[in-house]
Amino acid sequence: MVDPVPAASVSPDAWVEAHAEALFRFALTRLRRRQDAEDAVQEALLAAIQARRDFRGDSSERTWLIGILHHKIVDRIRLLTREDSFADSASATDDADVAWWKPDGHWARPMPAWRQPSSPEEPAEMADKHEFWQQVRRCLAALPERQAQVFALRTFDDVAADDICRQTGISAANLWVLLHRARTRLRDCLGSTWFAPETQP
Amino acid sequence: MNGESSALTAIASCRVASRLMSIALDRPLLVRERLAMHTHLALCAACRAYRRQIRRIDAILRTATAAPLPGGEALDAAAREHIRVQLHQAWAREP
Ligand SMILES: [Zn+2]
Repeated sequence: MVDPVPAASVSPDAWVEAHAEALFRFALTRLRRRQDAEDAVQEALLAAIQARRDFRGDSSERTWLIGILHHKIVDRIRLLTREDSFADSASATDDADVAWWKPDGHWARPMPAWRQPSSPEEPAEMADKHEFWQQVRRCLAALPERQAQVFALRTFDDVAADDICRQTGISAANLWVLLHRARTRLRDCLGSTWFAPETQP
Repeated sequence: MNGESSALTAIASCRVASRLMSIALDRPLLVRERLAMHTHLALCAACRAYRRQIRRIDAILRTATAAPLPGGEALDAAAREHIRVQLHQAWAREP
């Protein structure tokens, strides 16, 4: 019988050494608070120890661990959502809305033009632009926590909207509001920094 | 029914229209939502820019799927050690 997992890689020390850092950064982008990210990484690695015989070896060990971590992150967002009873308050106007829209629903501020993409391949070309991702990180850090969390699930992890609702307990109506606010804030933040016409990469 | 006047009375605000532009990134819009969005877009340059810009951000950020974003804060040494110890204890309990 062939063990699908190389014996050397299945040890707590090897896992921490090889993956803890990357798992933490993955979790921090999605959860925002260090303590939450550390807890999620620990929970994921503990779950991985219990489930290690299920690892088929048809994906990389990192991919397998990220999959487990993703579930732990979603669990945590569900708990946080329940704790702050956010589901009740998300549909209410938050203070920032006043800054975006006038009472009649029109934009309260002008929508400045952005510089043109350097090429149609812009998304792929941004992959290794370190300063861009640092700016994304700063802009995400300025979002209210729940907005940042659902935005990350939707955009970075490509979780379908109805799956986000089912997994986190957030209603569809509240999710549309959260994602709309997140995108509006990110558009403003990245627009005033990275995409401003005078800023060259 | 006069199509023109019903369209005029149905024109969404920027707030409502831009929410539809956001929702369009998450699910297909219903026919009446598409109509409301496009009617508004035809009349509003600010929302045309908004839509272009959130779609551009979405296309770029989607390339970061399933990987940690480059850079960022590191796991601190105490937390790493705590996780290592917890894993050892769990490992010892597992057959
Ligand atoms: Zn508009």
